[in-house]
Amino acid sequence: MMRTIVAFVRLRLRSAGLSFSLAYGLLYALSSALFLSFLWWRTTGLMERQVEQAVDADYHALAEHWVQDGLPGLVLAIQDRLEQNVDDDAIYLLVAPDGRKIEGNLVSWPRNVTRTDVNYERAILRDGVKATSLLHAYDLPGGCRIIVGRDIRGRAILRPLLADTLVWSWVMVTLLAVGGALVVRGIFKRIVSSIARTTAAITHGDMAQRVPLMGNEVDLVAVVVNEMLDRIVRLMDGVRQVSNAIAHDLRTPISRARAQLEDAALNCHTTDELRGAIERAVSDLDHVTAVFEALMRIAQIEAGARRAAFETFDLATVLTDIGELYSAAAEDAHLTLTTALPGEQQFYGDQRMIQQAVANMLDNAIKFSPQASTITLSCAVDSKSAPQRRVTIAVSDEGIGMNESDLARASERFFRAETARNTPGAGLGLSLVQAIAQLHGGHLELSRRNPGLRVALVLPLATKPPPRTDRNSMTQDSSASHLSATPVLVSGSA
Amino acid sequence: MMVRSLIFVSATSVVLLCAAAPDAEQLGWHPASDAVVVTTDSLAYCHTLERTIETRAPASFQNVRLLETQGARLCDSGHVRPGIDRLRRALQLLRHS
Amino acid sequence: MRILLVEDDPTVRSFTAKGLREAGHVVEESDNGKDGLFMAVSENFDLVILDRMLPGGIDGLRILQTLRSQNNATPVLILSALADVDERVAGLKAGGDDYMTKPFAFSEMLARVEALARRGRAEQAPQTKLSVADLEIDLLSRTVKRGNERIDLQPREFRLLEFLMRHAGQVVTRTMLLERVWDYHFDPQTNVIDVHVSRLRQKVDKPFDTALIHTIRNAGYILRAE
Repeated sequence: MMRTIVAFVRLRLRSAGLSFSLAYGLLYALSSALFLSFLWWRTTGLMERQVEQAVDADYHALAEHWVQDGLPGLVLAIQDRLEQNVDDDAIYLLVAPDGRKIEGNLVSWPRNVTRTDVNYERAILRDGVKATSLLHAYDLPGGCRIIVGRDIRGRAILRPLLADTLVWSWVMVTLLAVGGALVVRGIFKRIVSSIARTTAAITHGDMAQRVPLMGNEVDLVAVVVNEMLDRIVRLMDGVRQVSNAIAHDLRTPISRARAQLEDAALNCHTTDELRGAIERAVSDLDHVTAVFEALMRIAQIEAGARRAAFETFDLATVLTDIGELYSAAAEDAHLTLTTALPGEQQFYGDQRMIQQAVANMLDNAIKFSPQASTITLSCAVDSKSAPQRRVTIAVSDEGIGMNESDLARASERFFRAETARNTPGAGLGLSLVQAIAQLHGGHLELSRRNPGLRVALVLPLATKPPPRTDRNSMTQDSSASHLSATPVLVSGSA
Repeated sequence: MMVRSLIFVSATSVVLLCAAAPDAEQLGWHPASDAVVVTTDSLAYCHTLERTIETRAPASFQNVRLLETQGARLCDSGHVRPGIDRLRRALQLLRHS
Repeated sequence: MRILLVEDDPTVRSFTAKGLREAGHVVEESDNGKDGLFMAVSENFDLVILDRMLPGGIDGLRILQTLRSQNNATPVLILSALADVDERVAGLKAGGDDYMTKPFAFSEMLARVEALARRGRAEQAPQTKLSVADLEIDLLSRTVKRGNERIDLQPREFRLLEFLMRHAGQVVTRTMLLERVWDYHFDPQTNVIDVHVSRLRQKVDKPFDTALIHTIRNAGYILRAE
């Protein structure tokens, strides 16, 4: 099946290359035919006009003789011209009003030469050999008529010669074009087949293949294809990693619930025991649901579908409200939650998502802070100019923190640092925060404090909706940057 | 689509080439009956020119005489047009001197 | 209360219907959209519980839209396996009064059912004062008194108490409080709501002999005079 598809693709490529080069060759042949035809037309036209002008000038000179010396002068001039005609191409014929020949070298007035305003092309017989002549008839005052002409045998010879030459050069050009087309086709085929080979290898499961770079324009395509392949590999890794994690993190509570129910069915003797076991099982199942919901939410955000809910809102109010919600919880855990927030900060984004992200960050901080320590929720805008302006929402704690290697993996789905094994949670909180950061075109920054951890949401500050065309690239950007799934690390300030 | 444009292109180029090629009609190869005889290619005209030279040129014009003799000989041996050519050159020479 | 339950899954349906009957409601059941729509438009109910995805070509949203297009204002609680925020918005936009995602705890559903029924009644007369036993709050001047003693509350604490008072005698769940008092639609990992309720108790209950705010295990809170 796969082989047939590959063969079909190859065939299509081949015919595409062929028609591409054919079109190229034909275009070349057509344009050279056009060019040569034009050349031929101009050259013959020029020759014809030259003869016509010579004939006309000749006639005017003869007409002057007629005016000065009358008929005898004209006859003498014609005789003289014929005697001196070394080029052997002059043709004259002077006839009386009654049609009788007076002088000239034509035997008789040719038939069909009647009008005086056009040039005739007529056959003549020269010493038994046919030739072509250009004749022009004129009326002389007094009823006489005269023909002035030229033997254009030379032109008649030159014209087919020129045409032959041009036709042959066209044939040569066309052959060259066809040759060029074949070469182009070969190049085209080589380029495409190198990409096709690689992608075919990938479809057969060899994910390590890449399109070789050739050092020319083809690399533009090759690089993009390679990047695409890299991305596919990373996505596949991601899927594998997540499915492993799901298998582990969902299996555990499900099997626990199952074990509890089975145990209860076999060993519980009192209703209270039974009820307790069932309640524990239900809470395990609730945990499974929560994990599912978090996973779905992350997947949904990463698909970029949530940008529909973007609007401009006051970030400061949102953060103050969440701070207030959590300050009580912090106090209850014997912690202090301090806030450092601006009075007002307009922000374009998804309000619910920002709430969710900050809530997750605060949940984490409260969970991992020792008693009597302080948690700080802060929001600050950097001093850059408008398009690069970013807002940083940070939650700092004085808790157990993380070591460098944990920091790098913190936002991976289901990742839980060794030290956090014993606290409740599914390890999805920071993944969700990271996904929300990327939805807004920003990123998640984790840095070590001494002691503690600082989790910062760095988001571009766009108060207006970005132009519509930006939307796709933004989503692509955010999903592309997601692939380099490690959050930005800031080396410990301590 | 591609095939159709290819056919169009080739057809156009053939038409153009045909238009460019010289055709018999244009070159004026009419039947012999239509052709008008040019009288200055005849042996008679040859003799006319010879007589003209004889009357105009003194015997001392050696080059003219030489060309005249050559022309007359060519005319007599049947090569009328080359003969006339020589005689015309002789006349031209005569005029310029 | 007369409740119509349209739900195709037999386990969920019988479990829910049983629970609602035990809580003293009259429950009519339907397992498909066609029958559900027929019953909803032809009979009078105090509440309709609608599953969003139903067999038979007519889904929950269609039933809801039909009801609303006939100016039927019966409160509707939508049940759905679609947890998506957009789905929730779509459900509420179509005229739903509340939205719950499956799986759900029955206590949560019961609390919401009671709240919806109460709302239907309460909306008829706008109140400026609410009182339970000797606790009284004035919604206009935003003051709280218990007996003759005045209690000072933070704005958020006032809103929390107001919500509990409006649903006095009814169980309200933590999720309901988070949604209605704070307008948040996510599950906090920490017990933020419990903390806020216990703070309110410190002010409203602690100095007095009898407690009004009670914790209902596995469900939420209730404000009532014992």
